[in-house]
Amino acid sequence: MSMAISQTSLRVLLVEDNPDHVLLIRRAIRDLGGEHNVDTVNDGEHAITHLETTDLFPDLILLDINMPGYSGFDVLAWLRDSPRHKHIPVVMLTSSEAGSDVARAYELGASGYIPKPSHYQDLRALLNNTMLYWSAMRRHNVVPVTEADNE
Amino acid sequence: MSSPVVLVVPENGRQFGLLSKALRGAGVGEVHQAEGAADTIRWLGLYHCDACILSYELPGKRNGIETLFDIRNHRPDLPVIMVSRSNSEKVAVEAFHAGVLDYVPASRGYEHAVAGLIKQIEAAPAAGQDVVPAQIVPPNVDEHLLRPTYQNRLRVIGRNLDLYGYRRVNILEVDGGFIVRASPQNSRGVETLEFVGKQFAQLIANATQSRGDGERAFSHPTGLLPTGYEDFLRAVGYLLDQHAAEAITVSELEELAVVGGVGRVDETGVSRYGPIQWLFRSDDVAVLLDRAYKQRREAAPRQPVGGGKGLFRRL
Repeated sequence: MSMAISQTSLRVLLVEDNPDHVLLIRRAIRDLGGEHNVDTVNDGEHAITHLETTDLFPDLILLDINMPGYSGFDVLAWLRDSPRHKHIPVVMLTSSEAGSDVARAYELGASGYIPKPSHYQDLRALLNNTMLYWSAMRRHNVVPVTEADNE
Repeated sequence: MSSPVVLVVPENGRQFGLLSKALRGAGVGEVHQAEGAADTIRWLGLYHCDACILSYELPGKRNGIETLFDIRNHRPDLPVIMVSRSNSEKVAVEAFHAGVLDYVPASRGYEHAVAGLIKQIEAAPAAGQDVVPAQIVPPNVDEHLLRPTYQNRLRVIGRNLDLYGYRRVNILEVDGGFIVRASPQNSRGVETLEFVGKQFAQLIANATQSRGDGERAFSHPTGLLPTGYEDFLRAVGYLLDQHAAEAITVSELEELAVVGGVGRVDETGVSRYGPIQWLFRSDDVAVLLDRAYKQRREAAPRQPVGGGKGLFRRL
């Protein structure tokens, strides 16, 4: 029987260049309660530098696809090639409805995606569910299987 | 705090009526109305309120954000919740930058979300005390039918979807309840419905009173779900409970339903937790309904209360 879920706090790395989206996503995560910790970087290059230098790996990366410089796909490919980082779950943030972007993200090893809708309420609900999901995965020590593991 | 005083600055009389009704339903004793920016500032200069609900769209020249700046000059610490007909991200960003407590875009039932926020403000000094509304529990109903399992909670969501003719349904479990996106009857649009955790006890009691443990025995227009959402979601919920699932989603596609979440998965005799993803086509749905019904009957062999119709049959 499932009752109210007690959330495990997550350390989240948000990679997003649009300051408005950063505000909304941080706000939505804050409103979930719990003690989630959100680090933010505003492009792919900074994301890689951050991940290479930190010892505190995020439990979840929210990664925008369209960014100046390295795209979200570039960062995702780097993550999945890196033995230290390949198991970190990555949820892509996409503002396009293009199925090809979603398909490519899954091919590269994304764990999921959130369309960045114009409706704040939808964004909040999707993020809420995503955080619940990965909290549960972390609580049960489940490591996502990536394409790299299957090769 | 005793019953809070709330000032509502609506777009129009209809919006005030909806908000006022929801607030009073939530136990707010005093609800006042101001019309537009100038009237709001005049009101705040004369009277006291504990919170303000401010529409982004207002009569007159000043919109809700501009009015909020005026309010801040008089009451810098007044909790303000902004409501808006617009669902745009731009308005949400503007509102948060302007320091609103929360932003609630218009969608079906948004006035209840606002009333809930006001109750939170009211309860703030006594944090940790959970107020549970009085419930009307029907007599002679098995306790297992009233538990907040996935089976029972998804069932009442399905019941509401059936009653109001929704289709193309997506369900997300969120902290404290479920968000449902669905197309209403005779419309191509999509509406958002919220099922909050505390509502479930009463909703489950209502559903049980109406249909008891019974199975639906009439046809439903969608090919994928032959007996409607209530039975389908109840059967899905039964399976989710058996897998001790969490953080679930249910998405209805054209000829396929997809259920996701985290739960216990069994592989080659080993049980572990992991991601769940189940796909149900129409044939699978019929099998799912049959199996769930039979297993429920074995687990609780008592005579059903309400409108029991016997074993599900494929129609």
